[in-house]
Amino acid sequence: MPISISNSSTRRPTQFWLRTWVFVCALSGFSFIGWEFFNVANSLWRTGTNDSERLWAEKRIEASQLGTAGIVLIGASRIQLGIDTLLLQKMTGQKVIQLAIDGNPYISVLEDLATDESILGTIIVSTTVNGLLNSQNQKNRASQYLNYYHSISTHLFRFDTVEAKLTAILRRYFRSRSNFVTPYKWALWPKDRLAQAGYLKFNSDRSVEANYSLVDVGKMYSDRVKRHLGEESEAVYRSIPKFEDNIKHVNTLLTKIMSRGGRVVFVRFPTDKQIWEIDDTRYPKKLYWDKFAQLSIARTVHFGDYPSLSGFNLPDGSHLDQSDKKEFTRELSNILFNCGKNYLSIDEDGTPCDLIR
Amino acid sequence: MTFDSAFFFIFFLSTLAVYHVISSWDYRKVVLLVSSYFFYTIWNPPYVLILLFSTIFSWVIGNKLTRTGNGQERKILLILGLVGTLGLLAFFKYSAFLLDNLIQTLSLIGISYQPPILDLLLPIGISFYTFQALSYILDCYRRTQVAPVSLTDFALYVSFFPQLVAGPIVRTNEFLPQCRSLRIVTYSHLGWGGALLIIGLFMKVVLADAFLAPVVDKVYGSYLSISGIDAWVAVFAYSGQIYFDFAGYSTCAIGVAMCFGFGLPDNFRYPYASIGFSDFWRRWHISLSRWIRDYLYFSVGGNKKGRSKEYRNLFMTMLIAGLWHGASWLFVLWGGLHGIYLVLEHWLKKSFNGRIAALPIPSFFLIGLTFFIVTLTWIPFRSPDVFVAVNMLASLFDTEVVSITDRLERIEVISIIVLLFIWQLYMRNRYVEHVVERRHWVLRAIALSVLVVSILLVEGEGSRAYIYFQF
Repeated sequence: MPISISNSSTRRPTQFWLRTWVFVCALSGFSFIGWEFFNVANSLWRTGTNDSERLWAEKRIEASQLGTAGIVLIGASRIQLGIDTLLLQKMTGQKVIQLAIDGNPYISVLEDLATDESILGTIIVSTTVNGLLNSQNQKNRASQYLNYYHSISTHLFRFDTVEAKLTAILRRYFRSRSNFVTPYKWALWPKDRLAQAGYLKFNSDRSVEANYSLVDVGKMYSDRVKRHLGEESEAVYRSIPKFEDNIKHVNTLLTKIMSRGGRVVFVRFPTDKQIWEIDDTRYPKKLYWDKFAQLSIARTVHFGDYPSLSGFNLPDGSHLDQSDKKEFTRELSNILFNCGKNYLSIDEDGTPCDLIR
Repeated sequence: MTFDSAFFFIFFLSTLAVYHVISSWDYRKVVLLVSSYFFYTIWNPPYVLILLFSTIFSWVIGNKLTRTGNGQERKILLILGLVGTLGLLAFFKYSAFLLDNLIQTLSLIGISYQPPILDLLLPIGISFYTFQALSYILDCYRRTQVAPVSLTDFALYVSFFPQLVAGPIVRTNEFLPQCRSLRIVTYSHLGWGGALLIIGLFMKVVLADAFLAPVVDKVYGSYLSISGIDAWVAVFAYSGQIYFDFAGYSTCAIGVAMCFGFGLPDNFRYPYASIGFSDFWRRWHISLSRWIRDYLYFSVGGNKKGRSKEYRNLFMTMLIAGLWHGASWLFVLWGGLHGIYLVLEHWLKKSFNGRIAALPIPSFFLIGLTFFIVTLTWIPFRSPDVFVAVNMLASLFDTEVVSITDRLERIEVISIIVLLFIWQLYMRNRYVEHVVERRHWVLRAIALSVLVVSILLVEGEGSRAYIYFQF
């Protein structure tokens, strides 16, 4: 009977456990510290951390605690790579929380924020025309993150916040705990792949830096175009049935947020070269975005309407390089907030900058 | 709170310290009980009342059953016990599913019915602790449990934190006798228990979460068409992921329980080295298979009432086992497929009366075939909906589409799956304890150190909830 009723089990290894564990503690401690020194000496930790549902949930909990003077960013990778959260925080005097999820539609997150009565501040939504259509797709990472958040948000003592704090402490003191490069990757991955994988630095505030100087930009751009085209050999116009119904749904969510004093702005982040051509062929701006701008009850900002936002060179046609992040944040902030031009952290009277409506 | 969280580490060490400082056995059990309820409460405080209700209700019914000899009264008590415990499970786990199916069925005949949406959060581990509570009622009814137990012992049996939320599903005759007298804890309990915890964490954190899950998620979550190579890699990766995830949890649970001197039943015994599906179900999620076999399959007659009824019973039992995993037709399909495999296997064995065993088919081939079919059958289990499942199945034959996984990812997955398969073959008729016992302690320590460092360095990298928590 293979049941290990432990006290009577004859299977349990019985010998030398004390010395085994003393040895394990010493050897693992030595190895871990050794890797930590190597890591710091070679700046491997700079490749950053990875996203996780746990981290997202922690930020989502923080978003509920912001009150009126807070900014929540939602969308996908473009807003993660394009907004310098610290700079935006400094310029507006408001706490900024990054809730964008790479490669995922945001509508379910917007729905969640709309139903949360404690969301009272500003929400900046990075969207495309296509992004407005994804409300039915519930099986994605955004829904996985949301499910996780809802499953833990009722924890006594906010367990996940405690866990996140413990993790943050460990990461603060041990670089290798917040590291993308493990000894396995360092030893076995080809150096160019390591560099490629490491061109993105995921920050603990969930913003991301993209260093395109580390990669073969030409290849990355052509891969991006192929991915963007999907199964089409060339982009063709796509008719969106009931587009106005999608806008109505979004407006319903906005009404909930705005009726309690919250503010929302939709931003179409820049794309260029062939990526923009594909987007504009499939969903022409004049037909769709301008219609959205006209019907939306929130403010909309399209990069194409603002020379200060459309002049950036996007290495892969779709995202900003880290070297342009600050400048782009300043320009966008100037457009969105009424204190941006002076780059003030807080107005003279101490009130945070307000969103231009 | 999961085994791979920093908070659990603090909780576990604190509980262990307090437990060992106290000398009274009764107080030690109270410490474990309080810790178990704390463990459950921090997930969702109000839902601890469901656990408490389920515990007290089944304890009262079970104890009454041990005291009464009146057949009619015993039957009423049994029905009451079944309705009470299974009713809770059905309400929280299946009501939305049943309602959804009712709405769809009515809409087919032209009736529009829009009831209020049931937005219930599934109490974590409800399927596990319900089955444990039910096991007590059934054992008392069958008189295999003849003496009433104290509420403390019974509550500890239902809520013992190492196995509370994802098993193994412990039976009364395995756990309650252990509550009778002081559990002796030696260095070897702590040493081997700690080692099992580390091995389980390595399986979960490193193999399942860091290596296999990203590939599985990438392919199953892809909006683009999936290439044949990606589909095969993802299907095998998931086979590995679910094994390492769930067997990892069970290993941790057994290890943690051992540090308190308690033994829990084995839950996995190298299932990917099974010869056939009966063998697979003797090796995969053993505690659930035994439970379903003893309380369900045998209760409806098992193989005692002729072949056709045996096949019907097998098939129905597997459908219910599928439904136990979740309120979805895909789980029912998964269970049904395993039911069909079992029926076919039994039919072949009986129809050819031992002649198949005499055929010169190498067992390696049969093991490989079983593993292959089991792996393909995970597709409906993993797929979020029917469309993804069908798409994944169709993609297995695709030769055109460009791959979304890269070469190194594919090499990593294939290496892990091949090593897993070889390891399972080697260990098929062995116990890991015996393998460890025979190794020099320095070798054992080096191996454990490698696991510890690996966990420390990759923990948090794409950390995921345990798959079986949702059941």
